[in-house]
Amino acid sequence: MLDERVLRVFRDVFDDDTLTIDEGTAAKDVPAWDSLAQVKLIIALEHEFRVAFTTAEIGGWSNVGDLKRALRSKLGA
Amino acid sequence: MSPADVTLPPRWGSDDEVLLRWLAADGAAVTAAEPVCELEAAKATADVVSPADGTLRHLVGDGPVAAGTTLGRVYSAAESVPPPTVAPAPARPRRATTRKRAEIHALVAGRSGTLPSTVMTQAPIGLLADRLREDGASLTALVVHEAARMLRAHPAFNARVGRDGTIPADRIRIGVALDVEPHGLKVAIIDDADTKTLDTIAGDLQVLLYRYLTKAFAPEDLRGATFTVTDLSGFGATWSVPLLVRDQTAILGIGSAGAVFGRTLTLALTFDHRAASGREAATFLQGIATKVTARAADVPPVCARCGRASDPGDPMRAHLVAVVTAAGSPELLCRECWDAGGP
Repeated sequence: MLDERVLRVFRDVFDDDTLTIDEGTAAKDVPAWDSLAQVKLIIALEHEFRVAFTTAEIGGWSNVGDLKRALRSKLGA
Repeated sequence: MSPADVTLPPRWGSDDEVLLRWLAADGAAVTAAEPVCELEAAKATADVVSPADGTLRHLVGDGPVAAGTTLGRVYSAAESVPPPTVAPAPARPRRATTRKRAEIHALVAGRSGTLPSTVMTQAPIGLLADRLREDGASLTALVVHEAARMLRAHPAFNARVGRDGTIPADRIRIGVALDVEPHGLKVAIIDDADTKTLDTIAGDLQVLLYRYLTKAFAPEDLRGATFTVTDLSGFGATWSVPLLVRDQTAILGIGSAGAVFGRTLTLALTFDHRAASGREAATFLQGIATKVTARAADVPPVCARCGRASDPGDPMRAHLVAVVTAAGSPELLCRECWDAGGP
């Protein structure tokens, strides 16, 4: 469930319905994943999961796996 | 029981506040904590919320508001609501928004009495922008990083011009122009940028972008820049000639060109000739370009087919060959991929 929702957020932010991601997906794999996109991802994920990331967490992920671990930690899942 | 005052939020009320617009109409029914108007100071915006349920009466119109001003009042159902005291804004021709007028004011002030001049240079950066992006940084962050350190040796560009001459700033506070639709142009500050690593500056920029996109700036995030960087490379600008900002002696514009065979970074420094000479400006600018180019040298070009980087120790990849594909687009190939079929 979380995986599907994260994928939907990624597809919305990058405006690409064919985008696929896995735990290792990082900025090098998605040409449009720049610093602005990273912040848009954070904001979109906050809205989707009703969580708030700390300043230290903003920009602290290196790949999708990191991101999901941070989300699961926030959600207590 | 008395009506509840709509007042400036905490930490606001120092100077320069502008009521951008009322979100709730004069006489409208409002609920507690509902945003009723939008304020701006130093290009930061904040919503002012209703203190209670009731009927809103405006006490001021759009425009500057002084510290301590009561913006409006909310009357409960048990209270009689007085007649309007603020005339509705007449229909006017389309004109610049308050935010745009504030920007114009700052830029006109930056030109008033100054002697602006611009010097330019360029630096080959190859695939550096891609490497920075993959590492969570950006060209903007790198240029801020290098410019901040270069400013230590060139304090005339981190200064303002007063009646008695150039007054160097005691800190290096880099303003970075942010402009994403529909949020408008804002200049956010990276404090003491000369003491920070590239990673720290990239992280600071991420946090500022977050505050920008979520309208969470505090006025102190936006006040007191001593030098400004504006990056239009992401919008396809090859060059930009920036305008001086009020109370600063220099501003740096970033652009870029090229793609397949590596990009070229372009830098344009507009400076106040009263504070420094063209030679000093060129030296400062070239210093930044040299640092950026040196960093780019650590990022070798890669083969478009196999993705492996050029390697002087590998005869198959010591030199990449520029080819034109059947589709007519240029790309770089290593010897191995060339031998396997070429373009």
